[in-house]
Amino acid sequence: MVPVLSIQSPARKRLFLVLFLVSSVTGCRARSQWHEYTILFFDTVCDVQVFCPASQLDGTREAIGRVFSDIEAHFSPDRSDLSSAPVLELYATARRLHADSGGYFDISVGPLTRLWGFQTKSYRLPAPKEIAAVLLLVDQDAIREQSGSLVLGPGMRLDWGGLAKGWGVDLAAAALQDLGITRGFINAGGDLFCWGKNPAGSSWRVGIKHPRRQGYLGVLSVSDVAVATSGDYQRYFEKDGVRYHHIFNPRTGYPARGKQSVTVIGPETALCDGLSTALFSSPAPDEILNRYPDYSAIIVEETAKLRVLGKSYPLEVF
Amino acid sequence: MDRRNFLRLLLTSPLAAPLLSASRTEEPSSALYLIADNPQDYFPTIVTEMKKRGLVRENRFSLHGPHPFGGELRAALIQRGWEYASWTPAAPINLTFQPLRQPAPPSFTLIKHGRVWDLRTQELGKLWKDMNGRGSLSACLTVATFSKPVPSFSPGRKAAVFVDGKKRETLSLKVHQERRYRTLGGEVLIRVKNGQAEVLASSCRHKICQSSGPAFLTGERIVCAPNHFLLAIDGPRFVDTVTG
Repeated sequence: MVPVLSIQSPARKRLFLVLFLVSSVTGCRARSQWHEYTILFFDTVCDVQVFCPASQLDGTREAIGRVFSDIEAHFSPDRSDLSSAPVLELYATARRLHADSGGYFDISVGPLTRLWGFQTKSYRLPAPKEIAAVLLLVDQDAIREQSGSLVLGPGMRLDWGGLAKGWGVDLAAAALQDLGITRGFINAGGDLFCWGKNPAGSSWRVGIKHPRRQGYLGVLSVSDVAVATSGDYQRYFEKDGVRYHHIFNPRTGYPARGKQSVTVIGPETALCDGLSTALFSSPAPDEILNRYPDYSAIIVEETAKLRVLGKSYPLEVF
Repeated sequence: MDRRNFLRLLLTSPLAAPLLSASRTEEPSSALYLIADNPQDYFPTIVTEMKKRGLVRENRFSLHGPHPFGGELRAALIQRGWEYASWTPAAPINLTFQPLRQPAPPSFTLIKHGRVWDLRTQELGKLWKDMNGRGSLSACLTVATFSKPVPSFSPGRKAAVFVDGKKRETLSLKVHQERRYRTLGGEVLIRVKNGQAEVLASSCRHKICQSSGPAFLTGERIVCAPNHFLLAIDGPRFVDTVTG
């Protein structure tokens, strides 16, 4: 006679228990799906795309918002307290970029940004005398670190614009990865970090804006890297047919000349952000990039000629 | 080697790999196979003739991997007005070297969209005769792959309007319309016309949104930060995200 398992039998109880556990685990585990949203920070639009369960979506918003709010608070141009840990940490990166770029990356260009009206968007072409006077206040080497704080000379002002947003993207992406998000990107006004695969299951396709016309200069196919671009078309005004943009040559006090845009690709968004500014300002970008072997630069010269320097990342050029 | 022999060689060797994989990766879409010692004497003429016939559009080339005549080939192409790209992915024409197991008579063959093209007319006919007139065999195969041209953008179909951080509505770019939005920060007036969307008026101080011009490509957007207003063009996606 074939033994029949009664509902009370220990074997049947175990079977029900196993079935119950399996069904509850598979039934309750929320399915991941793609979510996209846009938030406003750093005076720009920030796009986020993440692959996670719907229940985790608010958590990602909060994490990014927390990081970006912190960055905005610590690196506001009007902040006088320069003793916080984030300020000192990012200053170490600024110091490295300043040294590696022969001074072409300089966070003390704040007085120039203000003089030309880029901070208030009240643009003006200053007189050469005014520029010469303000240039005396631009000298990153004059910043001292004393008793756990940065000390500026009289009249000096910092402009973290070339670094802070990129660093914010790095920290926000790390926060999302800590939450278990394995695929996604954060793009804060062109400074972006992407990781894992895109919705199509391949590398992320990052379009590089053409500096002079609508559409793209090319498309990168990348993953687990950062991308940032500095261009003379992003913030500028024109006077008497001349374009004056926001990326200053700290030696002359005038907008840097010779390039239309510089896109940098590499492991860290903060460095991509800073390097794109440094390479844009410097007449010898290849010498700077030689010090960063994991980074690549796509440079559009003033003549519209394209140059690609450094490490190779997959790129389609149009 | 005539074309029939060449095809036999191609199909029985790994040489077909770039073309067979093309259907999966969408690149390259065509390739030129040149069997010749001293390819620098022939390749610039062939590729220049191809450009005249519209078979090649771009003039940037790159050398992928070591080539026994790489330096000479590069110099000869630059001399004929071709532009060298040090970064392989940046070049629409990529040159690679393949050694042949059996030396073969010199030849050149273009395969485009899976079809063999006979390039031997006029100028290139003379070149073919010249190559074969020498009577020598070669084990040097130069493969030039030509990337498929890709559109650099795609026009959008809809404009998504976000007010105060929330999506208010989606407008078809085909319908001519004007819409006014009241926001926590003020007011924005937009117009959709001829497949484009633009801000006609805004209560903000600097009017950057108004001066930013019309948006019509997928992914383009108009932002008015003071008014918490965002208009984003939606449509077939060409890229996942954009820098710049």
